[in-house]
Amino acid sequence: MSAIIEARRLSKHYGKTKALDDVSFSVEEGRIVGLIGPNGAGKTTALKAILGLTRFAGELKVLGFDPYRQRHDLMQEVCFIADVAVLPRWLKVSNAVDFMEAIHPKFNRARALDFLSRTDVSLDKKVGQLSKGMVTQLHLALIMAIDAKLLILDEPTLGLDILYRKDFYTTLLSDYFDEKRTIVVTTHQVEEIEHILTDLLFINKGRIVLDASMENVAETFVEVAVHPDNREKATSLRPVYEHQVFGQSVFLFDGIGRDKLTGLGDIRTPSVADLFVAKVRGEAA
Amino acid sequence: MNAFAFLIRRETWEHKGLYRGPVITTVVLISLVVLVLVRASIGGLLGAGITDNGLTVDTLAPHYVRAGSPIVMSLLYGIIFTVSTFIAVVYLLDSLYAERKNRSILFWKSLPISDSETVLAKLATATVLVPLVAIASVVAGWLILQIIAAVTIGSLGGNGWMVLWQPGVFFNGLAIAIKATAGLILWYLPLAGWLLLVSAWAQRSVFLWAILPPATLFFIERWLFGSRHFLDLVGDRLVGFQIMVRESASLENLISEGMQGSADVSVPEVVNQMVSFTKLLAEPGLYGGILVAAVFVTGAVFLRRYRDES
Repeated sequence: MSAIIEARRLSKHYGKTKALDDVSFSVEEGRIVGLIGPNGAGKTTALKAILGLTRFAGELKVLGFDPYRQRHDLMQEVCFIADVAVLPRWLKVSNAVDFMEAIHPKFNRARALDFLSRTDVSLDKKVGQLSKGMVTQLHLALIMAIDAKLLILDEPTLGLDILYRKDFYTTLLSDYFDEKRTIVVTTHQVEEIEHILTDLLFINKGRIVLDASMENVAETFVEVAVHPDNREKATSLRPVYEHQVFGQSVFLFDGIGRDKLTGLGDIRTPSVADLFVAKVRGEAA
Repeated sequence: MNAFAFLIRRETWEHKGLYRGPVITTVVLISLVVLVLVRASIGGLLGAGITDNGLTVDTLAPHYVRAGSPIVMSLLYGIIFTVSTFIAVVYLLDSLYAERKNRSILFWKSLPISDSETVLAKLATATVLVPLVAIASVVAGWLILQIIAAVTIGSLGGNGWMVLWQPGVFFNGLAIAIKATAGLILWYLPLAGWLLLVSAWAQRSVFLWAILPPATLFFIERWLFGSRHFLDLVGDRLVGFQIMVRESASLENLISEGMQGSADVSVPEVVNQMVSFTKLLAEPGLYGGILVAAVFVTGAVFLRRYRDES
């Protein structure tokens, strides 16, 4: 496997705010990485740096290119969906397909039309006449018809209802993703994508607070709903986070073997959302 | 169709006025002419108009060929080009501003199209596509009006066939239109560049941004030095289109002879000789302007490329 994105000591300031503070990470080929963080954590800044849309300090290679200086070469291999509302209202669906075919060397018209035929988006409509969900379907169809190595999604399902959100990720996974492609996605709705992710990158206040594969997460992190009797014993094992569920303490352990925790209470692998809260809150504490 | 041509085509999807404007103008003008003719013929005014002007049914057709037809073409050109210039100005100001306002710039930027291709396509839309549509409208409008004139003159008993097709007026008129348009575009290139720069720069009120900086410069110059060189520079540029007109007493005499009815002189042909591209090319201001335009357009490309849109 080779690194698709290689970031070393990335920093970016907006005035006094540090949007990215000495961040290093790498993304391997064939992975689906969830870049997850609270608002203003630096997610979008990181994506913009990867896409060559913003200047930054540090070292960054995307598919071997310097994204800021070699943006044009990079964009042959990368696609992104920045936000649901970016397709212009005046664009007709058929024109959008024609346009993509004319300007993108890696666009496959038949594929795009095939994707569109499975939706309610009709070719003679304008973007302005489509519902928000249909605009996203159109955008996804256009992007998935590009044979790109890296796909960047920044809150792609923001503002969509749940049916569209589910379909979006299902389509992405079943019709687009393979071991030659790499996806980086940011979203607020972690629960909806956790089953498709292979890796997690948590970012908070411009810093990476967790960088792990999902297998790793399952091995390393254990959540235990502890019986009140075992509270002291559990605390002695130094949990990284504690929260209350129905009056019961739920502890999160990092790197403690499951064998040591059996008997304390119900053991399970934490959800990404729980892990996220624990990591972000834990950092703050 | 190559990618650059498709970029220009995209502009016509977004800005339908680019081609609708001149076409609608032409249709409206022709409709007005038809309306006036129908009204006049109902009132019997057409026949009266002929005798009032000292014409007969036999001299009607030659008179129209000599005077009417060239005047119709120059009027059409004048009106359609005024409309087209207005369309081009509004288009240029909007071209790099709208995509930022509706955030579609993030979609365009997700595609492998460079910022210079995009900006140059927008410049070409205003300086090549709009003028081509305008010239096509003038030609089509003139041909239709020729048919209307032929039918009208024929119905009055004159020689309609003579009016119908006049290669002298047509080809000289077309040559003048092409030369004048190409010359005007080159001459106005720095203004087009300025509008693109404003369009790439302004966060809102593009029209204000187009006018305020030069206006401020006028006043600063006036206040500091009491002079008005910048105002003159811009003013000369705006009204500088006579720069293509060759001054020649003999040609001017020929034109007035032709206007007075001399059958030996073809006015369109003489005017065609007077509009000189060579004279324009000898003007240093042309090259200065193109240089300034290049600076402005480069500025627009850099703004689109490097400005952080969030």
